[in-house]
Amino acid sequence: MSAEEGNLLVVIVDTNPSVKLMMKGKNVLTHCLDSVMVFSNSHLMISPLNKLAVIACHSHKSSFLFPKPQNDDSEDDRPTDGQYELFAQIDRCVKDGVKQLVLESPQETLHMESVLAGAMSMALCYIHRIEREEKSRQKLSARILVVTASGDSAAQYMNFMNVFFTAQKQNVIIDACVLDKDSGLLQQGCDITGGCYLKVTNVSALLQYLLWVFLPDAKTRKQLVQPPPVHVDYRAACFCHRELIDTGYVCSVCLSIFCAFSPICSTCQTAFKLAPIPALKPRKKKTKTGL
Amino acid sequence: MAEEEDPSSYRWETEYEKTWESIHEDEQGLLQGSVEEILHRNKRLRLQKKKNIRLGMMRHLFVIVDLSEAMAVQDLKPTRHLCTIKILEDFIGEFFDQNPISQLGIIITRSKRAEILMELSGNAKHCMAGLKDIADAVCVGEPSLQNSLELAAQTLKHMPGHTSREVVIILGSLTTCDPSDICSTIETLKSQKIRCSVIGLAAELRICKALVQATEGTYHIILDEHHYKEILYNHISPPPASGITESSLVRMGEFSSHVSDAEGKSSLCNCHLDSKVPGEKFGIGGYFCPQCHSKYCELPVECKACGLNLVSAPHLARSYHHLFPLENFKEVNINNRTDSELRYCCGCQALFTEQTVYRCTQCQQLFCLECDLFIHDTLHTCPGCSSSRNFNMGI
Amino acid sequence: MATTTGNLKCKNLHGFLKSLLPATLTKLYSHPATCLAVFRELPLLSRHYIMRLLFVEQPIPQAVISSWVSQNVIKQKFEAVESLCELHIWNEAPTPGGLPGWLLNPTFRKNIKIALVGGGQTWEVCAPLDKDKKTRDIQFLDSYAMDRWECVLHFMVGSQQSHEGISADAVRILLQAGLMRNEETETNPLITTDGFQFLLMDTSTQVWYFMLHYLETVESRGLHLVECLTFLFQLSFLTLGKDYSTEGMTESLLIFLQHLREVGLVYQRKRRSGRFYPTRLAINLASGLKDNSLDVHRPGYILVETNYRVYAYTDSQLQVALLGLFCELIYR
Repeated sequence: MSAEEGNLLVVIVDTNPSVKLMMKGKNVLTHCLDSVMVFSNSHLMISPLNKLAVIACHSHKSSFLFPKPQNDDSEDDRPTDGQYELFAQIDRCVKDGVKQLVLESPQETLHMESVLAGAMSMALCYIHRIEREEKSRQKLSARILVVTASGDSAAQYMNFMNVFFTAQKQNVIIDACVLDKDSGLLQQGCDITGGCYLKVTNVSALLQYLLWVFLPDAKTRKQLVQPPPVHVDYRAACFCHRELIDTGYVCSVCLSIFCAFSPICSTCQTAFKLAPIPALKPRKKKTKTGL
Repeated sequence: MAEEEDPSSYRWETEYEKTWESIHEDEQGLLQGSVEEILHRNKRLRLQKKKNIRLGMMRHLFVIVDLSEAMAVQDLKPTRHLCTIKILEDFIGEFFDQNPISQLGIIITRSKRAEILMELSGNAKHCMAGLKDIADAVCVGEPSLQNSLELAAQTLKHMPGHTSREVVIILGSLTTCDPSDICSTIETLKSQKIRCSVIGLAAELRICKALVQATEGTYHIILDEHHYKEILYNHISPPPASGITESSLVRMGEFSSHVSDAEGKSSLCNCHLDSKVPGEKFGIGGYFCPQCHSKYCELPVECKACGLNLVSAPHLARSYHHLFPLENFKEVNINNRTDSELRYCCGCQALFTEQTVYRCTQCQQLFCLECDLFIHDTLHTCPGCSSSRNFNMGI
Repeated sequence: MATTTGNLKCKNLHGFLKSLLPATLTKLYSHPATCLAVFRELPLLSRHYIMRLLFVEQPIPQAVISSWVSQNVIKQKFEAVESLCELHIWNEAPTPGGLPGWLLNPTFRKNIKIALVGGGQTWEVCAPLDKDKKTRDIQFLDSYAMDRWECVLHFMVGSQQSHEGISADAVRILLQAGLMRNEETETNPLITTDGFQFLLMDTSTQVWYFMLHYLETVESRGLHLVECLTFLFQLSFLTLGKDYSTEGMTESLLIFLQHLREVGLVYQRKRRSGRFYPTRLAINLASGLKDNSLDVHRPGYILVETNYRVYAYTDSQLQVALLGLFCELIYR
């Protein structure tokens, strides 16, 4: 038992409800949140060395739900049922935090995209800090699980890629559990970092999916049979039309991708050297023999 | 002669530096805090030096390694030669990490000759394998600066104009044995816009200084192993693009469909056609060139059949952070305020222990020192900015 | 959590529970804390099996369960299945299709679900309590725990520094565990070789070893094994620094509490004060976490020269007494 190492799991919950999901029933969102919480508690239950952090993100901001940085001494509430105290505390924090986040969202516009990349970068900073603090005491491996129904967000491409490369460098695995809408960016991320990407269509069985696929940590996953890896589409999108292309042109100065040749790069305004025009043979003079 | 020398270059010409006064003891008589402060300040200075300059992204870099007698000296442990190999291995890894579409080659020089150890290639593993070969090479004879430079120039002059051509010379000897006038070689390099930098392990040589000044490179003499690594790592960031004459649009194949092992038929991969081990890399998974459908097992690579450069989008994305660098955070002093929002770091949620914290100029969030360094060194994205809708940075 | 230091073998929780009868085990499993403690003791693969089967009501065919694991870990798979059978956490049951299957012990499943998700009754110690007027902070609890535990160790070493002796009960346990033996000529028992090994173990292992031997003799004192074990497990999952209620505890449990108080696992201001504080020695006792912050032995305080001179930098009486057993103290 002392040879086990702890695992830090950061769960990122996207609280922005997707329209299609809401249409399936009134309690879908609470059900998903409950499943995620039970899953997080199971992670802590598996080993006393495991650690947990929960971040929630919405369309306007992301915030840490657990652990809370302030030490408030309102923890005198006694548990009201047989649940392990620590789990009860986590449940309470998460519920309060999500409520606060949803109520704070600006009412004027409803955005379909969530700031997932921001939440993931906060998670990476947190992991970096905990790894530094725990280095003297125990070995800690870390992973991130993203639970979302929001699909892709092209505007955050740059942020996502930075996050994925950093995670790869820090040996942090990124797993993704998407409900309902596929996300190409998250697929790429899971592939780059060696994590698992799962699309769940049957939302009522969410907890069971989470427990089966995402509960084991990296070392245990080698011992268990996992779902097959997803085919990842690594094509890039051209900057002019945002369409995925097979072959294209790349500006050598700013590396923007274009689908067709153009004399000026639209991102960095560099003029390109044109390909040499083949010399035309001088045309024979047309004899005036009629048109 | 005098106008060629940099006025503030030599240490004995500058003011007397009282280094013992910069370290102070704190109340408990410990120097630790003061030392840490100095280290952190150096780190921050390094981050601030990066300015917004046009960078040459596609780089062709030749590393010239001196394998002469002088490299067997043991002032770097275990010998200069072995220390160099070790540091070069790390360098190669980092180089390809930061510049995925660049190419690296290795030239060695000894016994008054130079030879190409590794042709320019975009594959990190090949380069590392090449390095292992010279790990047990014998260091003998004298190096030849001119021969190695000419060898490098021969290959580099054929490189397209929009890429950067660079040479890094690691020289441990104080002499060089050249067949003819090295100044004419320097002139050739200058005209071909090949940027040469030198890392000296022993002392400063006038000829190296001339070379470096003519080609706009950098020249450093190392102090110890740590310094050596630092100087070598400076070459990982792309150099300013003054050496690039033209910019052009390069045709590349982005999509290389990766067929997973479960589906598809087995085929032979093109990059291992010449491999001696029979049946190596004969399998299902791999990348296909969109133009000619030949298979390769690793990217980036230049397709042997149709000449198309194959990359995958993440490779290009790795270099983007050089082009859109994150602005430095501003230092802010928080006095003991009691507002709860300002007490903890936006990134890692740690309570602030020090007085100086760092504020992002875009989203006005506060970060602790560790997060600041992490964000600027590795992450290249501000968590506050990317978490808020208004400042989303995208392409 | 098994430790072997020389010849001193400490049974882990698993071994201890294996020796109990199935009926006792089922009674034990009727409390969430026990299930949680037992869960954490199992091999990692077994824990994942249980998590997967937790929310499933009917028996699952054995072939399906075998297919969850990849082929290269046959040994771990076998270990996992064995450990679950030995502790009667799952039993064989036929599936509706007629194939042999596994079914989780319903009591175990119900209670571990309660620990995870909620529901059921509160743990006895978590009964509502008024705020303590004289709260004790963590530092005080730590020093108290170390004081009490060191008393026991001092007694073993035989030093005269201990201003309080330890109770006859504790002496009996030490004798029964083989750590000390009674000599006819001396009034006080003397330490044995096993006792020396014991002294050199780290604190959490020492406490666990002591408690295990205590539990073996608990029936003979007129206490109930199941009750005591349940209480001990509850203790290991409490939060450090919080006080808990003794309301509703039976007479035998109160006696057990006093014994724990004596060796420093809990702190009570008075015998009948109605509340107690668990100390760091008690927390995580069952999970075997090596919390080194409360260790008697800190590494690096002894230097031994080749001329057999020993230098020790310590201000702990216990360590000085320990050293006195092996060396001749010249200077202090």
